[in-house]
Amino acid sequence: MGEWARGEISYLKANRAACALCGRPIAIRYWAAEVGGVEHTFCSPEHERLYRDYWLPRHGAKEVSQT
Amino acid sequence: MTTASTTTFDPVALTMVDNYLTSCCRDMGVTMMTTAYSPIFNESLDFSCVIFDPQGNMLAQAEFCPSQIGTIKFTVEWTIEELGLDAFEEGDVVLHNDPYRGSGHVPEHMLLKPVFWDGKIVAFVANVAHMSEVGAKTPGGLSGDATEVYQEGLLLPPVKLKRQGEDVDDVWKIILANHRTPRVTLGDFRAMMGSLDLAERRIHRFIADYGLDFFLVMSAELMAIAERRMRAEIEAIPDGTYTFTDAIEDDGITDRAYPIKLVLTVDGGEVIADFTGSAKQAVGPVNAIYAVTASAIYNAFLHLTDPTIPRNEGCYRPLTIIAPPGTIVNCSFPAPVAGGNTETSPRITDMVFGALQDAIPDRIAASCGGTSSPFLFGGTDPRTDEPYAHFHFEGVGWGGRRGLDGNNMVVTINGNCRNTPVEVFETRYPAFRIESYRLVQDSGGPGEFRGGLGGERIFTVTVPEVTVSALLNRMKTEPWGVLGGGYGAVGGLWVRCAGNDEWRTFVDEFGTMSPSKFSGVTLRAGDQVKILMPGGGGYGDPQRRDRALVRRDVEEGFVSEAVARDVYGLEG
Repeated sequence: MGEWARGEISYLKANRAACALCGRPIAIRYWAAEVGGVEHTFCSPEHERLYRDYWLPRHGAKEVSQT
Repeated sequence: MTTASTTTFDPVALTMVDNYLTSCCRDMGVTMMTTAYSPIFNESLDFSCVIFDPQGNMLAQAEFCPSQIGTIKFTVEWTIEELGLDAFEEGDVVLHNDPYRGSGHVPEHMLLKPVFWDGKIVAFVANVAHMSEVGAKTPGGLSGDATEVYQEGLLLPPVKLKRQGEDVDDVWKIILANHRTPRVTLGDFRAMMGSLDLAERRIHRFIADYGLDFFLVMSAELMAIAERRMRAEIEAIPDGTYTFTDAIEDDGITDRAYPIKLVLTVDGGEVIADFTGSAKQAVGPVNAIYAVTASAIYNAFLHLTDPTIPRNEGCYRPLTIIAPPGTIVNCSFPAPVAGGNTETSPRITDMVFGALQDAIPDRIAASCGGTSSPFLFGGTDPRTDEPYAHFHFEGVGWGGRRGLDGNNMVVTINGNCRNTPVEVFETRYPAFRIESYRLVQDSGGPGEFRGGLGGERIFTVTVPEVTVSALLNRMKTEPWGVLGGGYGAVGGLWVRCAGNDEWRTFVDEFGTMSPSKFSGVTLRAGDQVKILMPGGGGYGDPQRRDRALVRRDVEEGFVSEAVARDVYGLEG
């Protein structure tokens, strides 16, 4: 079960986290959830569900950000 | 997430509220059109106007630029999240154009104003507009050979341009010192602010007349209705997986194509648009950021579904877009992005149509010309010694669709902008005289429903020198037809220097890396430029086209006698 978390805006660090399902850059607030023993960052709980139900069966455990 | 209503609402009242908010957005646009300084506002209408709820959900929009209408959702959401609701005060106006924080590309500047009622934020009004000068490496921005976003103009994270109704002078100074045409920038921003003020007054009037609770409840219900209706429309598409692949033909830096792979999964009332497998991000400026790719998908589904669905956040909820970071459909910082919004966006929208051509043949269209044909120029007006800069774009042929030929020479499907009339072009910009502007015979893809025609424009430099840049596409790969329809014609770009008889590419004449994507080329008096705009793809077998329509096409000069005979099979 995940939980909402908050990152920080830093103008010294340009690279941003992205949703592990959709790839959308995350501003501050994100859904943190563990899938397969790995902590992932999602836009929302819905995208955690889609990661499990859509992404993993089709593409395996490789994160979107690593393709 | 499906939002279910438990209350019954008066449909007449709902319609009136939706119309009120939509007409408010339209009037915001009229304000910008009539009060801005630059023709890209006055003539081209390259802007959009939107109303949001305090959480950043889109309540209403008007029919301006579709790509901006989709991206502004991300720009506004980012702005509210980064600043926090508590940071907004009555009279504030926040400016934001950073693509890596949700903007479409650097030239598109978003202004956001909170609307207060009894001390609380009850809505946000926003507009986004393409500024004609943004302090990029060359006049007009959209440098066709940029390799970093820093070369594409001044980046502005969410900053207050007004605080409690007063200009924040320090921010104004930074912006106006970085734009080549500060007077025009100032005038256009003022027009955008006037548009926001008008929307704020309209929302205040509505709440004063009908009450805040009515406004909030009806707004929420309109989004729920839009979501339900969009889901019902999607449910009418057969469940399944649909694929389509297309490509951006080059990037201005390297002569290689960048494939885009789309897998659409339709499951009940939901769609997943998955771009996994698309090319890694380009070196040059044809990359789309996530918001642009998502906006292109939204745009496609608004084309495919009932146009009477209220245009708000609810329309987008059934759509999930998966765009891997580091690819041409979701590039990573600091990749250049100017052409993502003008070139890659229409390609993605067309790809949805291509993917669904067998599933819903009555609703899709063939590929449009697929380029905004950005041609940028700037210099100093010898009449006034004032700097000028302009983002000039052209129409293309649109794809044929069931029952209708494609539009001729209309700005590509993501833009919905107007062209700049020749008279305005020549009056406002001293650099060029238009020699000809015409449709091109046989440029529309053959089909039972023909692709729209592309066009050709030739202009002559009339000043001692002018700096030009370009970022065009569909110069090599033809716009595709569907269901047996043929390809539209490709476009092109040539230069004929004063004293020469021969049209040559910019590669041959100036040594640019690409014939259609470059920046900072100096043209001189008497030089001529010829832009050829692509046609649209055809729909269905051309042999099935109504014979009377083929004869009419020949009479109008749209189709040659040879093509009418050899491709359409016209006898006699």
